[in-house]
Amino acid sequence: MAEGTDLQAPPGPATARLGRLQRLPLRRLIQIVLAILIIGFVVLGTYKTLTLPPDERYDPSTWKAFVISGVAQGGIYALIALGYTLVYGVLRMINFAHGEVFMMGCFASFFFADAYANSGLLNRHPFYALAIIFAIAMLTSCLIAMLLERVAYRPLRNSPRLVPLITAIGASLFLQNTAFGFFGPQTQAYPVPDVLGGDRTWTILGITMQRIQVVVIVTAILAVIGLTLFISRTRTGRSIRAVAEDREIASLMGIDVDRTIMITFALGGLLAGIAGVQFGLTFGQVSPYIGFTPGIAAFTASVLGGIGSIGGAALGGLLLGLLQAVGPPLLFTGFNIPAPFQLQDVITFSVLVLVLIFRPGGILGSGEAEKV
Amino acid sequence: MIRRIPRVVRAGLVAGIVSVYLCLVGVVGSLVTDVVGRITVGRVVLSIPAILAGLVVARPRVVSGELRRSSVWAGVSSGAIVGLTTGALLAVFIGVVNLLGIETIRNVFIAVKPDLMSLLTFGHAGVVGSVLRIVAEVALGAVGGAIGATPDRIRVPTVIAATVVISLGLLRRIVHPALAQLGLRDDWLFSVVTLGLTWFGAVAVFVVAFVTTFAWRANSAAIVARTHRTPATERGVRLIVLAAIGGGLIALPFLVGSIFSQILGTVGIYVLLGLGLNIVVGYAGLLDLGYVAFFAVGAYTTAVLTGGSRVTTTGYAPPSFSLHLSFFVAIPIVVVVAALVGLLIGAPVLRLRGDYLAIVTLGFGEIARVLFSSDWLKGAFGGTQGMTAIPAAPIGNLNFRDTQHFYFLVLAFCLIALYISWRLADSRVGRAWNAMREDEQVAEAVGVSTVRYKLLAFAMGGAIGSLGGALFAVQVGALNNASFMLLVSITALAVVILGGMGSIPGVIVGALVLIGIPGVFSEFEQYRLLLYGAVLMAIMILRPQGLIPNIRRSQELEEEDVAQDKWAEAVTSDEHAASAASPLGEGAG
Repeated sequence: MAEGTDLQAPPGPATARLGRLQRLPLRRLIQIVLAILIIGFVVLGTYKTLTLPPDERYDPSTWKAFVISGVAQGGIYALIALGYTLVYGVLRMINFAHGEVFMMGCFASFFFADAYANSGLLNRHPFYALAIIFAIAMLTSCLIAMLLERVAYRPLRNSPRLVPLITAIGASLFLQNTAFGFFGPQTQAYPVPDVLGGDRTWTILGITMQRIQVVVIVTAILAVIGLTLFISRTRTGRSIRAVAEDREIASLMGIDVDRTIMITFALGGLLAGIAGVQFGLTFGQVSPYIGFTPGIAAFTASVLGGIGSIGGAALGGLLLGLLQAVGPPLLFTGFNIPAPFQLQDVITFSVLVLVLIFRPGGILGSGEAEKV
Repeated sequence: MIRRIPRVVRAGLVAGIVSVYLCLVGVVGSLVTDVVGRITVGRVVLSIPAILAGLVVARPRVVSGELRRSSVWAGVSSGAIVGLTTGALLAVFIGVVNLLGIETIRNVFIAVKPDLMSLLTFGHAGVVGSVLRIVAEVALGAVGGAIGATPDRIRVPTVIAATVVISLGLLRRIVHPALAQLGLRDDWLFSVVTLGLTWFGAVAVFVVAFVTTFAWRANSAAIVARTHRTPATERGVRLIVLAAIGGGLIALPFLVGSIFSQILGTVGIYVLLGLGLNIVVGYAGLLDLGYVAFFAVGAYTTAVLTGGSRVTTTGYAPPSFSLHLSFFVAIPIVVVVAALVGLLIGAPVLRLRGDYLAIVTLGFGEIARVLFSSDWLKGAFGGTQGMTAIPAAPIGNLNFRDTQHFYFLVLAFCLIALYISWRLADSRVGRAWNAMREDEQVAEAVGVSTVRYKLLAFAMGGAIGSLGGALFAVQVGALNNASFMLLVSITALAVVILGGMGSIPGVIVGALVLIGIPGVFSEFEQYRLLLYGAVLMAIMILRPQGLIPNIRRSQELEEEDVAQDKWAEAVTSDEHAASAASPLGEGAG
């Protein structure tokens, strides 16, 4: 705190070092105290939960269910997180409205799903119906993302960094209330085909899972593999990487930067559309407000894994899904906190804050080195 | 591809898309208050895109370095083409709805009702309706083109007079009681049946507004020159203006009645929030999206300290910790608590910058809301049910519950906050914040302790924001978690952004526009958030320095603009042409 003395000191390497010595302790101290508090809380909470009297304890099968639902939730987060990561990698910008892109995809597919459910097609030919539903969601989200880029972000391409962020917040509010005006405020039931219904299970490698969870996990894995191949193998993927590396040089090399950025948004939109259908099928509901919380959680996931890295987004999504599913009962039950799942968002945001404080590059990111 | 389409058609297409959007989102169909005669707000809103597009197309513009004006006839004809394109798009929309049937469309877009369709087609079925709509849009576009092509001295008064007429048409519930109090009749002005303006009234108001604006614009230069003749008169004028503002502020609640006073109270609360956030965002350059945390801390601390009850399933119960302090004794404690929370939030995020800081603070805001409404802390803050029976703020016999009295309480707090903000701006602290905002490393190099000043910004901003929360608790008398959504943070941010970051008058204007106008024109309440979103986008794209920019801040942005322009010139020149037509979309939404 005492750098007032630096004022008169002549500049030079010695004072720089001295300045750092004087400055660091406070920040370090805050970090260390924070780290000790949190580790203490986690260890104590876990210990207390696991040593509860047997009749109050969760049995192992409950824990297993928590883990599986966490993985499935993580798959959805991973797909949304990829959209954040792609855009961040290319534009260094947090596309705050991405959660609404996801919501729009979910909504658009809902109307088709609803119509198919009413006509019976959803249960007669679930595979074809789902294929169309996925396609609609992907198309809608993709279009919205591209429109967003063209109308809201492109005019601000070279502004100070906060300007696009504020625009994105505005866009988020605008899209959410557009959905509110278009489709109405009420929460509607998203139809789920019988073959994927709640109590139907598949057993894979000795683990019994709900079918919908299997579908979510498999589509998420396929999407991540597909995106990785697209980015690493195709010509367009290469230009995305080039633009992420250096936009001006890329444009000098003959890459159409505007087009590449548009494609990046489109890719993010496609993945958000998939996530939208997965969300609808998993939770069985849709409303104009479903975009916000998964959006923030997915952003957290991408930061956790290392923003700008595809593998990081996938890993971060998975980890965050697990933390959200297992964290509240594991940490809070032992302290006798009622309704631990109410505090799910506290875990999400604490993870976000902690990652940014202790390892801003995320798990897989090493500083600025790795992008897309 | 898009660039090959003529500019006029492109403007018409944008206007058409905006018009269809307005229909689908519900603005056109659901706003059924009559403005003039039988013309509803929805109709007025629907006519705006075509008029605006015609106006923009016909306005003088710079083509390769030379200002090109269009004659009125050229304006009318290009406006008509704009209208034709807009009308064609709307006709396609009408056709699609007729083809699929209203009921089918309505399963998806709930705003598509028979009322909306008959409004669009003037009550005629089939092709006739579509043709009528096209004709109407052509007329609107032509009117817009005519207005656009006329010289400034006619165009500006016309636009202002039209705005005055439309506004007045929506304000009967405020104007009528005021005129009645003065013993004036207004049945020539407002129709007793529709509650909007009569045609005679509308024309009269238009003429008066037009003549006044015209005369003022013609003579304003002379008037201003006369008053600025010497420093002494200038000082005199300033005193008179200040006295007038002061008198106006005191007389205001009695002039406008209690509905309006309540709106003013809310505006005041957002002025406080805006001033606090302005310190954090505008002065220190730390984008805080979790500002609602301080609002919540202020409100809940006040509730607990002054003896509010928490709501339980069986009735009311005192919270686990409760005092029965007077509001004015509690306020200093609230401020200290909020400042401490500011330090608590600021400390872990010292290293973060820009957008990361924004997201993390957003997280803190959400954590605050979740904690205040959780079952875990139910004993202290009432959980999701919240708290109620929060006592008023009494001085002697005055309890400030009445909206007109509450206004004065808010006014007093606002004046204090304004004074603090104003004094801080150019103080040593304020200059340190400026330095930090412009370049953190340079600031540190010249001896500004960024740690200390960041924490100070969070604490100061938090303290002022908590005053808003405390007043909110007193105003409403009950709290629950619905009052502390992210939306509060975003609204406060929008207030700061609209006025201009770092600008104190900007905060006041921002709060008046974003809180006051939706409050007064309550018809639009449903679409307030849509409007906020559009405003945030439009301001950032069209005028990032805000309506009343802070001078230093706008210089910064200009420097960036210069650098940006250089870059943009280097890339391509036709990119600008492509983006020229797009801003219209946000403005009209």
